[in-house]
Amino acid sequence: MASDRAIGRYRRWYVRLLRLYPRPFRERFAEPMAQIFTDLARERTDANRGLIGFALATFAETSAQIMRENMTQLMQTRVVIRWVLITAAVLAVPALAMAFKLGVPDPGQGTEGVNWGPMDFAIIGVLVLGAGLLYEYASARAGNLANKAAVGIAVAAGLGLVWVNLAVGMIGDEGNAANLMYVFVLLVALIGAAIARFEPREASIAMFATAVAHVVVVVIALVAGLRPELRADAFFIAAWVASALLFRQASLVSASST
Amino acid sequence: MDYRLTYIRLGYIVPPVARTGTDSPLTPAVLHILLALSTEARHGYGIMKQVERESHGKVKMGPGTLYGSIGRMMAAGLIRESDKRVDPAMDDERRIYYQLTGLGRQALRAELDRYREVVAVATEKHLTPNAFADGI
Repeated sequence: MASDRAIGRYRRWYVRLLRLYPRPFRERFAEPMAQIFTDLARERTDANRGLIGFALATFAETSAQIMRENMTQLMQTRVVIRWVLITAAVLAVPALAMAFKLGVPDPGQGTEGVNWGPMDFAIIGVLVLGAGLLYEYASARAGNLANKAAVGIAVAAGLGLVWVNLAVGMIGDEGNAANLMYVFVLLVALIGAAIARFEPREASIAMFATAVAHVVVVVIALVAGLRPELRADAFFIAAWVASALLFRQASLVSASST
Repeated sequence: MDYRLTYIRLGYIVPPVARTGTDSPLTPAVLHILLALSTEARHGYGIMKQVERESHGKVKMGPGTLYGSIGRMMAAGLIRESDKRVDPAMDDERRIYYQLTGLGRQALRAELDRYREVVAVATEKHLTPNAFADGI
């Protein structure tokens, strides 16, 4: 029957959405929630009512609760406090350097003083805190050590790429508009991770795709004669590939244990 | 007051010990779920429909709200899973049933007492719905 097929299709999408709940919640309630979704959908079709509005409303309601449960989990495990402290420690380094007029070595030019403005502190603070919370969110879904390591490397690579581009630039200096090409690399990583929903096999493909995207950016920069910083690019590409391999390893481990 | 009751009133985000002794009410979802389970054990869909009936359609919970509340209530010890069985009135899928615990009954009783006290005060003050219609 057409309505059964439609219900089955919506249920599959709903089950995928439920994968975004924290693992303990998902393991306990995903099955009955999918059951209720089907019950409500049947109720609608029995009353000759459409499913699209119902599905959209239920997806929106469940998405809001998913955010709540994830925030709850973050707050419960005190990770927010931990990452606020880590961010404060990171920001304390340039702050102290400025306070004591310390410099950082600049090859060929002696020592360069640290001179961060409020915006620099704000941007780096948001970046470090955001990356930390993203890592906690993703690693909470990661089952084994390889998966957690893969998540950590991917998040650190993303953070590093943004930081280096803002600080000195991967192509020319930090003001060079060609550096915006690296946004494409980050988008591939983020969209890939969202589609993969932190499932190791899919995440592995997403990270390989990110490495390929990074290579494409480097090739475009070379062809255009922009002289990218190849050692830095090689480092980040290696990080994407390492993350992909670890995700792949995690998927093999989880497949063999089931 | 049992800290677990404070816990369920305030949710996870506020540490329960920090607010022990508060008299804030249960959330509407928690109260309605306790009411729905006060007469018999029910599965999730059964709870949802019972709440809808008892509130005359005014309270409709989606699956996310329902199971979020059920999770918090189980963590607070207000309800527990009773068994997993087929509901003969529905399909042949086995469903998890939930039932009130002693603490859940105690929380429901305390909440209903609070409501009765509020209604008693309102009655003493002659605050009927008609009184508001007269412009109080």
